[in-house]
Amino acid sequence: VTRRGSERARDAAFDRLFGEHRQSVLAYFLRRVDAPCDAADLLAEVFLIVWRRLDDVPAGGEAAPWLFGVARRVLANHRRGVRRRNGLAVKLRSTLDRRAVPSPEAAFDDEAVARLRRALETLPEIDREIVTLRAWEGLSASDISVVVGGTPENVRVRLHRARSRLRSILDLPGVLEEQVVP
Amino acid sequence: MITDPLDRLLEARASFTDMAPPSAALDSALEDMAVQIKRTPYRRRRHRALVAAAISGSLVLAAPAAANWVSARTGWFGSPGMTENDTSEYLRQDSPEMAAIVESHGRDYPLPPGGSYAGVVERLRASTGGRGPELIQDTGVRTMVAQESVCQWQALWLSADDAGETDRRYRAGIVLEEAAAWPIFAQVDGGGVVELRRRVGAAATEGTRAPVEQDFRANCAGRDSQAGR
Repeated sequence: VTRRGSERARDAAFDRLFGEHRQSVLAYFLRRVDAPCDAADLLAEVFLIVWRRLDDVPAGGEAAPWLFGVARRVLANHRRGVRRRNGLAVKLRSTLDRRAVPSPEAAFDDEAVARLRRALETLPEIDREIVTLRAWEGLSASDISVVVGGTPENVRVRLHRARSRLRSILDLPGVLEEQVVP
Repeated sequence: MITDPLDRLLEARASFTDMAPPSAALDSALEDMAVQIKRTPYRRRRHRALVAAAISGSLVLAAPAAANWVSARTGWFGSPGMTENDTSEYLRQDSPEMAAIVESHGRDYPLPPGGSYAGVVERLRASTGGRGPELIQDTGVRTMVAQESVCQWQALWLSADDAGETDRRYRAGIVLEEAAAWPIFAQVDGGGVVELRRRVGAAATEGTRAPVEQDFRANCAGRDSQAGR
């Protein structure tokens, strides 16, 4: 395999990953940051890591939880105040700003969403992530365990307890049995 | 249709996909990002000029008085099939030749600007404690050199993180990430060494401080590897 051929293969592998996952990773950030333009920088950070560590990205269906795991750590850094403006996301930042993506709260009853947000804040960070990865990204317990660590069984237990706690705080009617998480 | 009230509430909170559907402008901005990312380097550049400078410096320092010259070479090699040694040669730690051996191994590992392997030579000499000649296998020397490189890049990473210098931190992170693939760590891995290098390297490129700091404290603190700090 020539050097040029290997670089083309590398480019193609990156393009495939970027094409398949860019929208879901961008959505992951937009759901969790206050300013949409921050999501642009965070997305660039994740795929810069992918570009650097392309050989580490698992194949097939295991790529998505691996990517969300990276996204989770990048977001944690962002929340600790680590700012990265590396110039890779200039156009996307501007696009997201121009589109003026409304905050999710704007589209929903303010009081209900405010209560949900407060309720989520009472959960330990890992439980909050488990609940939202399941509800927002639609990940299975197995995939969530890749993102946050631990075993799928542990994820199922924590998810069940966290959802019960949310129901209690929000005074929502209980369900006879929580849906079995795949 | 979602019937569970908790799921309805969570879904409403996350309705990004309805509010920001894919569009030509968004696609164009994303493609632009991908092109720019692919222009960034993914392979480290060797700091050969710096290493060469360090070598020539230490060779001058290592020039011995002929009467005191003691070769590091013993001609004694480790026996095959043992768990506590490999088959590399045993070397005399107190030999002035050791500086050249350290620097020779050092050519395989990068150093940050201002870094050197002088600390490794000093530790090898000091560990004899004046009790006469002590021996170390060549593989052991190489491991110390590779670890010293890691320590100095971690020092640089932590210093850059303290200063908020993301570019400098990123460059150091690339080296720390690549260290996991250095053959010496796989060669001496009795369990967890490569995995530790891989985990710390990944944290470094992601900008996550705790694993880098923890590894530095555990494996580098107290040694003379403060380049960049």
